[in-house]
Amino acid sequence: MLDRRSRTAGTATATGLIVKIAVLALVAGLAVWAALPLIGAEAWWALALEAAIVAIVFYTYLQRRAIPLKYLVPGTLLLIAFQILPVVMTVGTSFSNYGDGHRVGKEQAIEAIVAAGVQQTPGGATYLVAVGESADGELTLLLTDTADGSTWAGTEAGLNELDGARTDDSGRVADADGYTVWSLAELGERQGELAELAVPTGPETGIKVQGLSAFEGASTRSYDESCDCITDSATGVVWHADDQSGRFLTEDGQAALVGWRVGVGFDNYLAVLTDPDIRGPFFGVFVWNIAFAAGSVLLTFAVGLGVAMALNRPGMRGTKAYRAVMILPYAMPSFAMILMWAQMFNRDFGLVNDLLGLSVNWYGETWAARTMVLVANTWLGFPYMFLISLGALQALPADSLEAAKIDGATGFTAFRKITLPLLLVALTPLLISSFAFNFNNFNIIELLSGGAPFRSGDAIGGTDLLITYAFRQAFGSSSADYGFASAVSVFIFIIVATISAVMFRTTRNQEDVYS
Amino acid sequence: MRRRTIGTAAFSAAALSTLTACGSDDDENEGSDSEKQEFSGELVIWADETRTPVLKEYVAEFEAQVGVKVTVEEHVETLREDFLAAAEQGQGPDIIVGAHDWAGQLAGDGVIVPVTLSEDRAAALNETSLKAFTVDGNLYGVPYALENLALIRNTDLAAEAPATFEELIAAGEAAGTDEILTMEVGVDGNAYSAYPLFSSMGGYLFADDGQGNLDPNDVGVDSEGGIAAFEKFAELGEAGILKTTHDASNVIPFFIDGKTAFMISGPWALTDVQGAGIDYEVTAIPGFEGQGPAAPFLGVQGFYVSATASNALFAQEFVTNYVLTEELQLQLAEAGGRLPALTAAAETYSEGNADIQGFAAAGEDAVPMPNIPAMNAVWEPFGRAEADAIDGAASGEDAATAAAQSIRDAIAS
Amino acid sequence: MTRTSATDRARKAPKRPKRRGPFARWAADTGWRHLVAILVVVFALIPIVYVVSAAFNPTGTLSATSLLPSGFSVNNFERLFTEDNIPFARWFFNSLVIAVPAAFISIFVSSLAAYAFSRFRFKGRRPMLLFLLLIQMFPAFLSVVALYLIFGAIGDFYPVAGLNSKLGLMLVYMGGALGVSTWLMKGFFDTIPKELDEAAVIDGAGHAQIFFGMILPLSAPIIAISGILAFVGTMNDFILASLFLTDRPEMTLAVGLKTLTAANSPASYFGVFAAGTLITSVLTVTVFMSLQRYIVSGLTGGAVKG
Repeated sequence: MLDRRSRTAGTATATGLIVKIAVLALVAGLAVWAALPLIGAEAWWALALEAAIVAIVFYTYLQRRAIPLKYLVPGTLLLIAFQILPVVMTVGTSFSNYGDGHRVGKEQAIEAIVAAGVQQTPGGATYLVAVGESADGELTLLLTDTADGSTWAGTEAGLNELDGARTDDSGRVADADGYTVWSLAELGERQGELAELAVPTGPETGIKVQGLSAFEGASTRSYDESCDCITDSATGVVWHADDQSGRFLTEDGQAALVGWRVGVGFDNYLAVLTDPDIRGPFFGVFVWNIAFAAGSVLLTFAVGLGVAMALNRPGMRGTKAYRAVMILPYAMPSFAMILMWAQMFNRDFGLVNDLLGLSVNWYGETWAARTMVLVANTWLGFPYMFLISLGALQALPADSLEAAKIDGATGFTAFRKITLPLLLVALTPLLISSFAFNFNNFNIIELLSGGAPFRSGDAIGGTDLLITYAFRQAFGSSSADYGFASAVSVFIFIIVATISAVMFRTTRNQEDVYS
Repeated sequence: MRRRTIGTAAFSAAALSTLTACGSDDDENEGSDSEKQEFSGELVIWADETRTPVLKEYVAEFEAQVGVKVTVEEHVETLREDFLAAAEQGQGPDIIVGAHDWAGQLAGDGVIVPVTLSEDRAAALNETSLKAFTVDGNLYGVPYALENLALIRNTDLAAEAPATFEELIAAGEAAGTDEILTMEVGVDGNAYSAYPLFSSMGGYLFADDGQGNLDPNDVGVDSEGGIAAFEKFAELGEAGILKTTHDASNVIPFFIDGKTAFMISGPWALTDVQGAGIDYEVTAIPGFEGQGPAAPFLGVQGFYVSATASNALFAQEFVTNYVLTEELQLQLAEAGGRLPALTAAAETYSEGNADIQGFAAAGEDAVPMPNIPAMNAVWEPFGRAEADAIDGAASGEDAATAAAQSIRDAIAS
Repeated sequence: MTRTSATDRARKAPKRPKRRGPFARWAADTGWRHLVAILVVVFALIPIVYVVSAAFNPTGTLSATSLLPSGFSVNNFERLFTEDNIPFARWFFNSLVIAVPAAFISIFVSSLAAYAFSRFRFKGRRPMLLFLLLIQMFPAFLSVVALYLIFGAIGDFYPVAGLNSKLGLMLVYMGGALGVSTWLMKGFFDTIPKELDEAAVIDGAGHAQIFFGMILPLSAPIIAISGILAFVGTMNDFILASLFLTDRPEMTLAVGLKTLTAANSPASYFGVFAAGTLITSVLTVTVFMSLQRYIVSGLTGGAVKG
């Protein structure tokens, strides 16, 4: 069959050919447009990547052998860019100490630590700043002393009194003999050049510009490349870089304020495996997590399919209105509706206890809280199941249903023996994917129960899923630790992917999903 | 020549180059278009949803004055996270507007730079608010507004301001409303709103060395006063005065609907209260009889300069000069309903403004919310212990002890 | 031809054994359907009644203890269109401009892939299918950080598709809906008999003609459903959208509305938020209603017979 297809692929219609040429021309146009900024910025690697992508696209649509490729390439490119790449980057993060205190590179960390050592000279002068260039092009700070209005010229050589300067209303030097004074716009444009200019006023003090003002200050800290250390001359403290942990440490192990990102190998994975807060309750959480995911799929699917079956009858009155209402829970922003549910489950003022005449503490009892999240999740999820069941019902071959009728199978038997198995053929992968989604359903737990109930001192709540638990472990306790959180994500992924793959294989043995 | 000129040899510190290491990568059109009058860059400010609209009007004058385009971008609820993600990659805004308790984290991440205020500038500001932005001895943000909790009272339901918490309960009962008091607790507790009562009973979170430096290794949740406070929570929970079912969704609505005479809340509640046309008064939160005053947390809003600002020059100018003028602090205060950090502006603003005076009175003993990273370890365990005590799920002492233990564990790890 | 098959069945349906009374017959045939539908409708509507109640409540706060509002006013709806701080009409427009093309393109790309997976046998097909399913299972709570990095880099070269751009956001949405749509459509394509393809091949049609001329039209129901799923997913997203669009007038509906419920917004904004939510859901329901006629049809059966 494939062979025949390949041959017939050549007999494209004239319209097809025109469309193909047009699309490829568009791609070529886009490619040129996309290449220009890359060339401009001399980003050769990015350019090579772009060229490779364009080459793949052209090759795919000009060749005639691998026809499936023509259909797969657009999706694959999108998938790689926006789904696979983020996953790869997350996995990369799991091998680093990226997190609070270790967010930036080493260079920026040094800059931050050194910058924190700049202190204003007590009683030192403050100035208003203008910038000018002398006749021979030397960059000069034109300063007005805020105390007495005297004017000064600051260069690499130091500070000299400036004569013949005229100031504007604010007191800034607007014009000075022998200097071209920059306008504010020019100052903004060329502020980078100021970074190169140091104006000393004493052995250890200099002019520090801050905005359009300046003060006299001293920098007490300096970085020395030879010992890879930072010295604070005022306090005598010396921090040595520790490239293992990404921090500057003193002799007795005190860390400087800012650290940097370093690779830590499998440390985060080991931390996950040895963390007593994770290992201890792991099994209990794991079982509830599976129960929650499976329960959510079953309940939403039961309700969604039930409604789809009920409404799948041509000629029934009111189906349109029913259908419209059914998708309302899906049409409302879910974050808002979870808040509504949280209200409704309020023990003292909520609708649920009110209507049912109960006084259940939905957030205080483990099983009540579990019921609560399942009910709310069913509400949120059934319209999706309704829609895909409706789609699948439409796809059922009418022949088999009619054959069943002829065989005398009616009602529930027909549903169980014929409709459901046929539906499952199409829907199993989506149910598995829904299972996986609910396995990691962070929002419903976080926004509705927050993992509650907790007892003081507990690290883990009655409705916590692995993901909400891991999230708090990584972000909640003291500060964000992306490296650790990424390692946990990888573990969760391995767990859920394994379960799903096994489920997938089992169901495939029964029904030919790959038909 | 009044000042001595020295040789450059003795002068090596890179940090004293006039402008610290910013924007060194924007030198592409050096000298080529120097005729250009309009500055092509812009000053980008990130703020949260409540401050953005105010700032947008507020920056117009700076635009006119300095001739730089200012863009205010709104980041809903995730401002801090968004900023961290952007700044660590060398992107993001020049300035962010945020609470003072971010200072410790942001400074530790190296994404904000210290600012230096001239002595007279600093002296003009509320002293506590400056301390709130200080990390490791450096000022990292410039404050502009202060906020704290207070007691808001429906004067039709309770005419007199209670002097003690016991009087409050009696007046609340006398009012005959459904609830005696609404104060945010929620199922997970709320350390921020619980703190005034906690401090009245003599509890503390971290020991203070008297200079405003907190010691993360001395946790006071299970100190004598701390335990007494949690016992008090249990007692008030038992009596149905504090409830874990009072949460963000109903504290203000109950007050507006006249279901309670008293509410412990902040300036943000006033918009709703005024909108409902209720006669109210803002007063200090009363302490327990024979105990200390109920000191709330002080929250300070301020401006931070990003370490990766592409337009550092104007960002610094904006933060250290522009936001510190009285006129502008007043504008911001009026739009936000918060007490300005600039003392002169605060005086002008609170004159004849009973609400602000009430909040200021309530904030007299306020302590800045700790900005040390260890504070992150406090919120959750403290809140849960509070909820447990109120729900009667644990005795006050057990709750306090368990919470203190979790906090110490988290800080140690 | 397809329409007739549906009406055929509708005509055939009432022909049932006549022994039972008309009510019993109605109950067995349609009555239970109404019962199920009404039960679920009640379940679906309860939380929504809260929203409606808040939307019409003059004080605009959520009255937690009662379903019925304490008064009636359309003030909240008016505020949506009059307050400068709530450019609702712009949000609405932005959402449509982003969600509609994103849904269309994503569905088109998915249908291409689904066709390949359904009709061709090639090396790596099974692993690819499985991979497509599994990649969705990676816990996504860190992907925001990664996307920030990716689009920061893209924006350096192409500001038009970087952060702060609608185009960038659209690209992410296109990528996001791929996995589920592809599987959904592959399942449907599989039920279209291969005999149809073979007949078309004999008639001299190429693979492109089979796909565009036959498979796609026959798959209207699933395309409509995938389209709705992708559209609604896009409309409701606020995590990615708030990362990309930060300027108030540039926000999408979900992000804009979320600003109204944010922790330090006034409680009275809740009514405005509820009103906005109601109008938003009307849009989604309208899209759904307008696609209904594609969803409900017995297409394939008719085609095989015809």
